[in-house]
Amino acid sequence: MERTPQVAKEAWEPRIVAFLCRWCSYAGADLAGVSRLSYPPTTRVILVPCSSRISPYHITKALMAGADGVLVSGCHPGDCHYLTGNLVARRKFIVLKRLLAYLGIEEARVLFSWISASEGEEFAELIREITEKVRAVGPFRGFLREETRDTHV
Amino acid sequence: MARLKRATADFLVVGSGVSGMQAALDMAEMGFRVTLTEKTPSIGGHMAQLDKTFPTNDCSMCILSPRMVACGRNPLISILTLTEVLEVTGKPGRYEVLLRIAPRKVDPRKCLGCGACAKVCPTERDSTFNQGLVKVKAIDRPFPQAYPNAYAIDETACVRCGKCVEACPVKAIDLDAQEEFIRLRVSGIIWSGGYRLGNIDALIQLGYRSDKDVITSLEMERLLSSSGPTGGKLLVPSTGKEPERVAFLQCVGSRDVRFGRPYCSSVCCTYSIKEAILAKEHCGGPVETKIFYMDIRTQGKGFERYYMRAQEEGVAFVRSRVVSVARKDGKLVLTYSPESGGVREEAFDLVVLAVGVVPNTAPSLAATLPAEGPYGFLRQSGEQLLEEPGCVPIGPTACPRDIPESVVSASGGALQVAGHTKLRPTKTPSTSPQFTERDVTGEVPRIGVFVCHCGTNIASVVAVKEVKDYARTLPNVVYAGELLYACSEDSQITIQKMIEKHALNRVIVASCSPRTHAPLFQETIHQKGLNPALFDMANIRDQCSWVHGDTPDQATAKAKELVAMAVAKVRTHRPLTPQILTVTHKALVLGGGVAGMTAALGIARRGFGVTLVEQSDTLGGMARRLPRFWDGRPVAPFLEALTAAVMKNELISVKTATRITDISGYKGHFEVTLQNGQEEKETVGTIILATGAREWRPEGQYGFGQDDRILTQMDLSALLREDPERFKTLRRVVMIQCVGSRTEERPYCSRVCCTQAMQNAMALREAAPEAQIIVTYRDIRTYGLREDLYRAAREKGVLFVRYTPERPPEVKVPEDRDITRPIPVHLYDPILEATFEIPAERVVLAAAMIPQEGNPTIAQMAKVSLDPDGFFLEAHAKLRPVDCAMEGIFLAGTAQGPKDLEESMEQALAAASRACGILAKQALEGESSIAEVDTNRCAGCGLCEMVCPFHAIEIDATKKVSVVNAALCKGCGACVASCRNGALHLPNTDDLQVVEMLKALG
Repeated sequence: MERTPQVAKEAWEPRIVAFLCRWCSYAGADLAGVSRLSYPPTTRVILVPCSSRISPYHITKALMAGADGVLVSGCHPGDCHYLTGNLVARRKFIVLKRLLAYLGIEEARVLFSWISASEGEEFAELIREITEKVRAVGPFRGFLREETRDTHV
Repeated sequence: MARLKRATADFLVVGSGVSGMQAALDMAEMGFRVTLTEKTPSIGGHMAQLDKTFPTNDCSMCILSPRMVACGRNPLISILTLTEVLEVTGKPGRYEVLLRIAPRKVDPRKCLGCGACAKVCPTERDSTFNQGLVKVKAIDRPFPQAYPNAYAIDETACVRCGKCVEACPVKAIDLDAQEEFIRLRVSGIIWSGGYRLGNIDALIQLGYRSDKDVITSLEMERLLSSSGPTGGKLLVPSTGKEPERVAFLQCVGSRDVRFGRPYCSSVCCTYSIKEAILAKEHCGGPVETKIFYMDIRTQGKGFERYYMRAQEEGVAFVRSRVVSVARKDGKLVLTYSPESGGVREEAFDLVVLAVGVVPNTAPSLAATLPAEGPYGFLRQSGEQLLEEPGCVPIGPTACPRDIPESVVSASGGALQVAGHTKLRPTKTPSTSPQFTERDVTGEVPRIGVFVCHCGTNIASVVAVKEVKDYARTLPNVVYAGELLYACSEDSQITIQKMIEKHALNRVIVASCSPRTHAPLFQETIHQKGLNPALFDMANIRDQCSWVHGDTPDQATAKAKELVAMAVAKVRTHRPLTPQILTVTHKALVLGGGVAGMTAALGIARRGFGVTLVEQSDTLGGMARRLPRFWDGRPVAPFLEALTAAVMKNELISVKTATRITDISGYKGHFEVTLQNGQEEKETVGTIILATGAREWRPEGQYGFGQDDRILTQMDLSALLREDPERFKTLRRVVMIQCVGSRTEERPYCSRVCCTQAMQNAMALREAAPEAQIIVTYRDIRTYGLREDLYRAAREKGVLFVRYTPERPPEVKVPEDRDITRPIPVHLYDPILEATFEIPAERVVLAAAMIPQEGNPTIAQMAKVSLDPDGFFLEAHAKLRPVDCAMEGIFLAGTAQGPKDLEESMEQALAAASRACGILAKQALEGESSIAEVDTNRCAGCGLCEMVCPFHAIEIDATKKVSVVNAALCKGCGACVASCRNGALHLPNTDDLQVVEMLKALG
């Protein structure tokens, strides 16, 4: 689904797809709710068994589908329900980050994080933070680098 | 007239902390029905109050809460909260227990945990859970993750105004509810009474209660916890500001004869180290933390590294005893005398007192419990651990101990008590109740969407009707409806009716979290013939209405989108059926030492065959060289009896001089290849690794190997076991502790050496009363009740001189090797700041306990891991201390890390107990969503094999494509995301589902 670029600046709210692992981060997000913390309604959560389930394909696909930002969050190192899944994910995303930079995608759009099941406050804070970061870079307009965009579109 | 009900269960577990829960779960695994009682409104115990757990800094609630849910959901465990035991009569195999249930006044089956009652309640009281640091209402839930997740009224605070009764949306509150009594008939009882904080007098002496900023270590946990009164910010109670300097005072009321608690509480050193590390992490500014201690006792697995990490992170350690804490110029001033003598004063903002543990006693069970240990603890000796009494004490009520040790004792206790009864577990498969499933293949998706109000929890923020109307417009949605409480009983009936009426083949419930509620709804649709996988949830409460209360319009928009995403996802779901794995009802125990024999006997007594494999010619292992248990009981007659019991048990087949050369398979079905001259294959359902450890031979250290009079503690033990009389002319002995332990090469504590030194020193004193015995040490680690030995040794005149690793003792072996002359030992005394020469006739080295050389080979065969020190690694440092990450394989004894004989036996019983949990089942249920290979796309690159943490996928050697071992796959999806060809799939969590959800974004 393509976003219309003519969205008025003040009406625009960032839209963030959050991939959360079932065992830690999703539980942390639930705890934020149980604790009645408040954070901006910008995220759409996709529940996955483990952060290692997320591939670069999902992240790029989320941006193509209209997301302005993507959050991937798993268990803290050592806490992974699947032993080392979060570390596998981390290795993959280090490489992906370089690719995203090459594609001209602002660093602020894609965030990787660890959130444990007890970190409700941290989760709420994270959403506030990424929302502001994505807001600062504005709506996502496509994969081409700024200097080449005009000639390619 | 109060009500009296009668009930029966196989076993009763009294106390539902982490130990009680473990015992109940293990018994349920073996197929027994268990009643679990708890005196407070929620299960969970002290562990629920802790912020993080040492030495991994894992979040305590994160690991505990799934255990609580597992207990709550287990159909074989019935939980009674607010319950106490009044009376026990009968005998093992046939007890009658009178239970009193105090009135909760809130029906936990009706209560939704919405909190409407607490909002209107006018009275406040101190929060027990938060250690009185905050106020809560008279009607309250102890903590957000409580189980049952229901409110309770504190009778003492309630003013009976009735406001809560009116506010409750489901009429769950009855202010006139009365106490109830239950007469319960059981075969056996587990006493898991836990501990309380000790010695309030000792605390008061150091300013507790009179000064707000002097707090207990448990209050510190609450201050550090993100669910605590300060939201995880460490704030000084009197100022509300972050502290600059925090002092931790060790041994407050422990190791102190003045307060009748001369024992060591065993856990305080490591928890204070944890709190000091966390204090630094939690504060924005720099915080100075100082631990005032007598000996740092980090004897547990991984604790020494934790201690070293704390030092690196700047936690200061001061060996001293604090005399007083007083308020001066707005600061808390500590007066203490450091090791170098004199008196010093130092100011702090916050003082944390490391309070010791005191066992909770059980007067009503006193006559039934077999053991009566010192200081109110109920300890079982080595011999008692082999018995199968009807009533067993577990956890810290038995002796001061930490979480993993408690969990071990709980699993072991479950087996001991189960072993007594003549009951045999029903060999039922572990699969959930079976319902006939409707085949939905080829049907067009017909999706029903149920949007929940959750009373006002969702409906006050999200426009539920709007969401419902929107859902109806989504493709394939043939029905959309609203429910007041989706989780209530009548809603289940509504959902089932709609499935029938509209021929639904997929269901979405838009309500709370799938983590807590999906199983309930899945069972509802399963009863109606829909496979549980044809279901999903949209979390519009925890992750929407509760967090977006200020922006209702946007919350509604978000709820709509979440529903659209869930619908898009479930449209592509297909039915999934869990793997059923058969079980071979036999075990293999590797290692014929005391741990291996104890484990084998434990399993055989439950009626399962065991093959006990020992590589040497004889059974007994390291125990053959030990004279005594730590409590002084002789080992030899015990070992003889144990060996005889193993040899004559018909279900145990002992294979000595045998090695294993290969292990393949998985939980329930392992194939083990044995080698003893000829090759033999065994098929077993479970394996216990009890391969032991060995003593390091400290060649070249302190003259070892150059003079026969320089020997190790184990050598001395063995000589004392043979004939203590040989030492009667001895005049002077120097013992050197930590030889090869706590070093750069081996940064762990060998745990047993301090206690062994005390025992050997006293045995020498007995043989040669005139002899001078000097123990030179870094920290004396006679943890728990073993502290009595340290005190006894001091009283008997054994001398203790501390050394630092920078200036260790020096042993000057005479050049001429003249054994008629004593060996000069140079000792530097840090108190006197002088070096002494001691002419010793024997030098005894406490050499490190080191892992077996064969561990890496076994680890590779069994696909289990080793820890950085070379011992076998458990699945989880706290809650799965005898399990391996490879399911079906368990650890017993020193193979897992240094421990003494009694501790090895406890762990062996625990391993046997866990193994019986598998053997007691006809079949095991695997995961339902596991990786699948599209062999047409697979290039056989092997990347999936590399990333799989469970060795569940490998390249088939002949076909050159990936093959998934369904029994091992846990469905994490790491391989799926790593596959370059898209050849791997995870059903219902596949790329297809992710893409469909993304497409549904508005």
